[in-house]
Amino acid sequence: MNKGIKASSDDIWKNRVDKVNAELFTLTYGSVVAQLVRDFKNDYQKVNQQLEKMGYNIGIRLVEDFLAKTGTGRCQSFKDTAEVVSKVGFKVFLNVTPQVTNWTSDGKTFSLILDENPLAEFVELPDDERAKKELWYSNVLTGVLKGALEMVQLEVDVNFVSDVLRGDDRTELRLQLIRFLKDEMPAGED
Amino acid sequence: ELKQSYEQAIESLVPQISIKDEDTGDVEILNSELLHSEDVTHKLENCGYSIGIRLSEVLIYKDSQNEILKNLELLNIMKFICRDVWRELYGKQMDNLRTNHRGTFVLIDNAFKTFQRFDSPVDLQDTIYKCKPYLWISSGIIRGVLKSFGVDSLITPEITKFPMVSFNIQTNV
Repeated sequence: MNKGIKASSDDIWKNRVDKVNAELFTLTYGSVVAQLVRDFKNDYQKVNQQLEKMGYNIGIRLVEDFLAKTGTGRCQSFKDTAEVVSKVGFKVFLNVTPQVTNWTSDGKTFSLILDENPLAEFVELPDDERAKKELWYSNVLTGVLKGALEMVQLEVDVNFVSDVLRGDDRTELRLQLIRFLKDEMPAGED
Repeated sequence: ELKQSYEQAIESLVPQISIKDEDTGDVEILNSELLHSEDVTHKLENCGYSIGIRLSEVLIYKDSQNEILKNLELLNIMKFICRDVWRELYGKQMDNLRTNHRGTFVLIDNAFKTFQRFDSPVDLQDTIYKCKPYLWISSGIIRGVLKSFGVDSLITPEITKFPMVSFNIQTNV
């Protein structure tokens, strides 16, 4: 099954995705983060929150594009979801495939290891120690994952636990399944 | 000194966060009355500026043998923007470059890539109104690239005939 996923997402990436210049993307994200840091006067907690919120609003709409491009069906288990997030989601939007690993025994929590992170190319955090301790530079990703998964009835908790920009060995995102959401009618419809 | 007091003046004009929280990153932002406010424009232009400065470095590093860079006349720097910068960013060159040979340039892109997929459900005028903020980023990028060559400039972007855009550039040279 995995091979099939990989081949088809390679194909989608090659033929069905509009590309934007990688440097423009990276530098634009960088200038957004820098602007937020200025706006919030170096309150990095708030910057993290804001990035997550921006990501969330991207995620809830991005999932439609995702479904339209990939035609992915319903996942049978959270394990499937993890595979699809990594091998299809990250692949078609960022052209990277994070490793899925560190499952807890209840099968509800796993990690994504980002060996490559297109958002963080050319990036160095400022020397002040606080930024390295408090800022999750790529935090927009946590929001995107949360928003996108919520739209397919999965409430998840997403956090960065380490980031090479902070001097850690690797960049790791932790995803925890909170619950399956019920299909709900849009407000105002019977 | 003048620059500093200018920046202070801007700083004091800029409310800390002028955008409603719930609109962050949402399309609703396009209906915000603050869309064209000075601080939003200023921030976007500034984002572009910092992108421009860095992008310039990346481009020169990648192609240090570039013919254009062997002669750093102002006109050549403009050609660098029209050709290399624009191709890198938008996959096409600028369509037209005009100058009065006294430091004023007009760069024209007949089909601005960023606007390719933009269409308001209301009407064309509404599309143009909502597109404008996106133009400030590119405008800032041009200013940033020019600055990286030591050229100060004032840039007025304009949507002449959607999706055609022009950048009116005044330099101090």
